[in-house]
Amino acid sequence: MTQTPIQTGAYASRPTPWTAFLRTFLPWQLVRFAVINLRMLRMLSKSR
Amino acid sequence: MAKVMVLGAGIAGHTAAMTARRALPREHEVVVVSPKDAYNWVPSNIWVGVGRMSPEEVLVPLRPVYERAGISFVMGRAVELRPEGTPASPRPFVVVEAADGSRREETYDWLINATGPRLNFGATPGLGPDGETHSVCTAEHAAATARAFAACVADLKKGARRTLVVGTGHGSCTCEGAAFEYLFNVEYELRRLGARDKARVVFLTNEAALGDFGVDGLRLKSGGYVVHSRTFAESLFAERGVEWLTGAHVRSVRGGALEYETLEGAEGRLEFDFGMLLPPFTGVGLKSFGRDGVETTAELFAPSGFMKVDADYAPKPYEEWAPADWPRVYQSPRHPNLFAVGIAFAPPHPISRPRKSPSGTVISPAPPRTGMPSAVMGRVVALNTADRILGRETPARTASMAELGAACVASAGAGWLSGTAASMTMFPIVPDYARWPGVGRDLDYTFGEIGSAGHWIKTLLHHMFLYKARAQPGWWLIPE
Ligand SMILES: Cc1cc2nc3c(=O)[nH]c(=O)nc-3n(C[C@H](O)[C@H](O)[C@H](O)COP(=O)(O)OP(=O)(O)OC[C@H]3O[C@@H](n4cnc5c(N)ncnc54)[C@H](O)[C@@H]3O)c2cc1C
Repeated sequence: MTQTPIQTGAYASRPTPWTAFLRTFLPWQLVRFAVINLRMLRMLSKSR
Repeated sequence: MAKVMVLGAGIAGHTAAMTARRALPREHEVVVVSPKDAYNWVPSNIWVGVGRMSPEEVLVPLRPVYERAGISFVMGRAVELRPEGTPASPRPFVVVEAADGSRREETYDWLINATGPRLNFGATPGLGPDGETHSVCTAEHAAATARAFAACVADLKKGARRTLVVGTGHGSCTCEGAAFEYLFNVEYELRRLGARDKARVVFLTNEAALGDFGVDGLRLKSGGYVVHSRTFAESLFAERGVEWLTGAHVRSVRGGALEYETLEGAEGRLEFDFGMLLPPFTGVGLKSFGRDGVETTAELFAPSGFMKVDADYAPKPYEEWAPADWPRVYQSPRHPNLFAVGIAFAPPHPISRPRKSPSGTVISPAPPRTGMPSAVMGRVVALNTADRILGRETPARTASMAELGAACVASAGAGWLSGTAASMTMFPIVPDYARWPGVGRDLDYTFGEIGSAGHWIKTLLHHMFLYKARAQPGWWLIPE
């Protein structure tokens, strides 16, 4: 029986500290909230 | 007077029933048949499963909603379809079984099958709430899962080491996105509760690569490249210290360990203390009969138990799959007054490339039919049905998954300022590699990013869709 090594992310990409910081940085996320909503609405209108 | 019957009161069925009721004058009847008298906003079950919400917060009692709306409700499980009636009466009917086993016949003129999936835990010995793993597929399952998770956290806080495994419990599962969400909510809660350091968290999936999600993954514009969602998914796993095993089929679960085989032909055993593994789905086991009583199940339903509609079911290799294979109006080819929407319709084939292990086990995701397209199908079929009843000659509206986009928000932890979610849109759901070579989708409408904004959107959607399910004022203005 061969055992598959469970992967641990040694070769995975990682976010830079700046990217990781922005993910929960309130002012930036308020902007992203608006942008994501607009992108979703745009996609919805294309689907209709 | 026409009678529209909807089987199932989930995301697809409830939307279909409410839309039909709104589109039809009161002399026409709308009836919902369902074994449960509550609507479950399934996407929030992952939060019930980590103890962040109670089951009541994801359930809506349906009787008051239907009473107000003028929809009749029959509590029971549809077991047989009789689309041609009997020799005595040609009126089609459905046989409905109540919880006590008694059966009754319910006639219809138009039937919308939105019965969703049967959770096929039996496909893997030891899988599921009656075995050794947990589930978040229903609110009740998720509540029991939360109790087991809390016990695991208590052990970790006492200093014990624990292995938590989350993922898919069979090679043919779908809904990998839900497993992904539950995984990262578990990891987030472990950190929040100060119990992360002694916990080993493992994701086991039938996807050939992380980020496939049963849709062949998403290709996104990033830093001058078109990047597969695998890169972003692996990055999140690495960042959060979660181990993973891809292309895996769970053969059995017993004695606190699961045995698996992989696409490469490897076999292994993983011991765990807490496991949430999704089951594969099948149809709910409806049978159908012709007027003379001869069984027609094999003609109306695919071997998976899902109902055949206007799709191209001719078997063909992956290279020949085409967007045109996917259904547009969800109508049974045998009965023009019969439709199947949401998870209940039989897809023509998967979306991700099909794969098998060297021993011949299918290890690749079944096609997901997520909330948004399920609800759109329900609305479109209800509106088309109303048009036919009212004698309108308008062309049928369509809702092919090869022409519809989808928005998905995958939670990675529930907290207003520290929680995050991956927000994604894709267009179309079924990739078209002939039209968009190498990427399959329109890059201007396909994107993804992770952040707190995603968590706020997921929370907003939770409240908006519960508002809509309760049919509160202006509910129809909320898009699917
Ligand atoms: C844990 C989890 C998380 C998810 N998260 C997301 C997400 O974040 N976003 C997203 O878009 N999708 C998500 N999904 C997928 C989404 O839940 C499904 O797409 C959606 O529920 C499908 O709707 P449906 O109406 O076809 O089926 P269901 O919602 O399952 O509804 C089926 C209905 O049929 C009833 N029924 C069953 N048998 C019978 C019978 N014999 N007769 C009559 N009625 C019957 C059931 O009681 C139920 O009312 C998630 C799924 C899971 C399991």
